[in-house]
Amino acid sequence: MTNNIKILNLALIFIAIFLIDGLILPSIFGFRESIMVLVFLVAMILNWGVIIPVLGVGSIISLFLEFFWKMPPGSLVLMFLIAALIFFFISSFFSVKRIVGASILSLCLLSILGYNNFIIALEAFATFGVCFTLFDRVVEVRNS
Amino acid sequence: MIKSPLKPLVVLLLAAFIIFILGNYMPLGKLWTIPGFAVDSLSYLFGRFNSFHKFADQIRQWRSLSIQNEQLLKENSDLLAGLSKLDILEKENDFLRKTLDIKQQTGKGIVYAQVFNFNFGPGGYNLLINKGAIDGVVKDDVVITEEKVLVGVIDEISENFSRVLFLSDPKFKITAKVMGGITAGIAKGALTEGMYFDLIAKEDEIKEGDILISTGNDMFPSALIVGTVAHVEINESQTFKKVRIDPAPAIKYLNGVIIIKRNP
Repeated sequence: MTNNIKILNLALIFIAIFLIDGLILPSIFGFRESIMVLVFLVAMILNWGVIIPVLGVGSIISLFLEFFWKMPPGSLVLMFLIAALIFFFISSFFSVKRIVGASILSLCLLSILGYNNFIIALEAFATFGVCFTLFDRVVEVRNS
Repeated sequence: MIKSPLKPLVVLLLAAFIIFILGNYMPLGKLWTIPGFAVDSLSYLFGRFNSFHKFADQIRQWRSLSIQNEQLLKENSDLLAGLSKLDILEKENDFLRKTLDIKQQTGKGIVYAQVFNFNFGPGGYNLLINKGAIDGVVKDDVVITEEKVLVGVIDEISENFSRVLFLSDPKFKITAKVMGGITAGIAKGALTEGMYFDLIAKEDEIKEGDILISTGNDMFPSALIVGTVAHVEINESQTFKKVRIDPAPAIKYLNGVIIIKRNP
């Protein structure tokens, strides 16, 4: 699986999601919560599991986001890697299907933010769906 | 054979932890500068998309135009009455200023900036604007809209862009009062809840729909619009009322902002 990821396509999908999340959704539809790029990072882990290319690309993207959003250096990378570590241990005991993981995380978001913000949880769930579809069709090299 | 990712994961975690610790003592964030053309292009695109949003919103609201028209006519007559009163007050004020030899203006400089990114995540609410250290922007400069609606304060500055702490961010605080009243307190950011207006005693007069403005008793200039009282909750067992504020509605169409500089 390691060699079956087209990193350039993955980067292009990230740029598209980054622009939709930071530019198009807030300016046209008034969605101000930057949740899509964070969902993208988690979607990579859920889709391919904890593998070296995912860790590398995820860390670079997290680092870029930290500088762009002016967060304390290392904070988002640390959160991403801790999420990866948690998933690594969970997946060594259970077989977690990506859609189940996405549903659980979206429901967690819904319970944290409250039912008045269900649209954010819905946005997160839709982003998971879009990411998984794009990963399957654009990023992964098919053997057939 | 697939390599176990545990070893590189632990190495990366250690590296990130070291960067995180170092970042608390060294200004690593200042090394980063977004190219000027990227900032300008993003702010231009943001402005264009925002105009489209305004246009779409106006189409959606066409049904309520007659009600809005009535309200506007009433507000217009109220404003005219207010203007005539203001005219008299202005002359009186000018006279008093001259008498006391007070400077007519604050003498503070302003900078016009464009917003190019929002970061309204669970960790905090802030936005990026296309003016930075080279434009003379410094930390704690106040950011407002053209309508004198408070947006926030400059939190971090890079060479050509800055991060603005939005007024719904939990780190944001301002002393505010009810417009046309005497009730005053401290407004604090509360993320998705908007803001909370603290230290309002049970006997203080405040109701839903009241507009809050800055008092000028802190680093913020006076008479900036902070928001509207959305909900007032009175609990008999508590000394203070729980007041929730909706940040001012003009922020919905945030595009261009004005930075009031602390240093003239």
